[in-house]
Amino acid sequence: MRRLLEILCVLLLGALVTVPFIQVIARDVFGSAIVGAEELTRFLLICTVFVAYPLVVNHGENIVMGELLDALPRRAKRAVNVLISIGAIATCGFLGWVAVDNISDNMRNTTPTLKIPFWIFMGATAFGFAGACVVHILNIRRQPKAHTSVTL
Amino acid sequence: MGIALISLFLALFIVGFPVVYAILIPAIGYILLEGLPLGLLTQRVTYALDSFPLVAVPIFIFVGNLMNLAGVTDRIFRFADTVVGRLPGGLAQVNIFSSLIFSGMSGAALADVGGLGRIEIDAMKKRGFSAPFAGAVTAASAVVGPIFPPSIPLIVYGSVTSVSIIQLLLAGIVPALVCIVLLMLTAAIIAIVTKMPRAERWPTLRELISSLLPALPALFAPILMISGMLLGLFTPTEAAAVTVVYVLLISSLIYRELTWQHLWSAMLTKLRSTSAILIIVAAASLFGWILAVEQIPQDFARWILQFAENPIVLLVIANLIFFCAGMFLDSTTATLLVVPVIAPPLVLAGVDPVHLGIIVIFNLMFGLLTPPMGLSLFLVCDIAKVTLRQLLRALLPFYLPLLLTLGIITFAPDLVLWLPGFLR
Repeated sequence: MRRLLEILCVLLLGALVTVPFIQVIARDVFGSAIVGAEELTRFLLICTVFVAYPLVVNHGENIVMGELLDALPRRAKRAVNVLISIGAIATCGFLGWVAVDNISDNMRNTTPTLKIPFWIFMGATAFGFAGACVVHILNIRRQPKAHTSVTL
Repeated sequence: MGIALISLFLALFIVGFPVVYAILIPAIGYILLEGLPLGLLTQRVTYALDSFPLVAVPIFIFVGNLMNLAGVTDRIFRFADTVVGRLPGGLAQVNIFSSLIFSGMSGAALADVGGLGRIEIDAMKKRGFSAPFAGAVTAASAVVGPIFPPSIPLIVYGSVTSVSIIQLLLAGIVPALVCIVLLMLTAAIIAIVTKMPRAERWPTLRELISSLLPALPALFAPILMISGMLLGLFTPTEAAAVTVVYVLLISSLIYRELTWQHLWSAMLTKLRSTSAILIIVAAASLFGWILAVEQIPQDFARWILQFAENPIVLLVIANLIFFCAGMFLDSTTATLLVVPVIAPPLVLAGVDPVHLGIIVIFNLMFGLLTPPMGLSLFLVCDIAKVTLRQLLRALLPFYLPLLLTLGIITFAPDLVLWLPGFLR
């Protein structure tokens, strides 16, 4: 399952690079821009970010300021970590449910140019949060990482 | 209500909740308490990413990693060694000069420290430089990365404030060059005083050419990107895509060091970094909307304009706020949550938003070198195998050129706005 998700995410990132590049070639070399390329790229970004989110949680790569937590005594640290896990599970589970509910209310909506169905966008959001919720539940014993160094 | 939301966010953040949940939990609470439609939550979060400029973020993150894996960084370092290795400070100058070249292709400070920094610190230690000094030079010069185009923090700032990203990227060029010159001067003075080693002679033309040729394809990447944007051939997002394809081409056809396994691992790692950062962008958009509904930016504007309406005084206040924000918050969180509140009154008072953007990002990058959230410090300590205390002591002289650059950026807006002026 994780491997499948990784392949899907890599394909999405590949498409995210390819579409704007093809647009540059089409517009600047062949003189005819691809209609809707920008819309497709934005759609790909949304899908990439949310679909990859369970992988972020699985690798403990959420950005955290862990200095205070690290300084706490062992018992207090454990209690705070349980609290964080509960908060994370509740937040992701709730947002996943809201996203699914949102899809059912807007089944007919599409994007203006390419007519990409709205449920795909919101589906990615639902998948991301629901998947993250599941990973948080599975990893309930694992502590969130401190000093995660993805800052720019 | 607005103050309660901000307080809850800060409490959760400080306790150690992941930033994304520290933002989302108060936001969900607000929507539930106010009885607003729940659909707002996911719609705001999802459509925050419906932005073409933000597409550049994952692509530029990917470029930085790709260059480290493709052997581009080694060539840059060797070329810089030949060109400036004879200057007082030798490899310290090479370190600073390489960071400038590297930052022309990667938009992230930590990509510079983690990639090029490893090579630089090892080389400096081998040639007799102390590990803390090698680490200090690496950390200080990496500040330039997110100022010189391409810059991921500037893209995030532009998307939050709706300021032209091309203008922001161009505005960073002169301050980055000023900063590099000041850092090199500082390194030279320290080197002369402490008699540090340097190359025995200046390179011959033949040596210069032989180190330039392997680095030339890599050096062409920033030229391609900046000239393409200036000539209107492509947008920053398209420039990012063109750079990825270009780096892939030179690494597969010329350098031949990149393997499929490298590429796969680079894509996966950077995908996760992208998602971790942009999910915060998405959550912060919801939080920002709530703050706007609660009129927090307007209240703050009224409050701050009571004290001063002079743009210079306001800029000094902004410097203090963002310097402190950079010490405690990571740059993405600070840009997304603090900028929407602080920027409007300053722009209202006549501060140019492009000028403000450079000040904000420089301050936040300075925060990478200051405890308690100095991520560059932690990374350099790990690479150079030095303690935080040793590194901070070695860094002390380098805070001066950085502060001087900040002063120049703040009080000489014409210098910052000179290049973007060509597009206005």
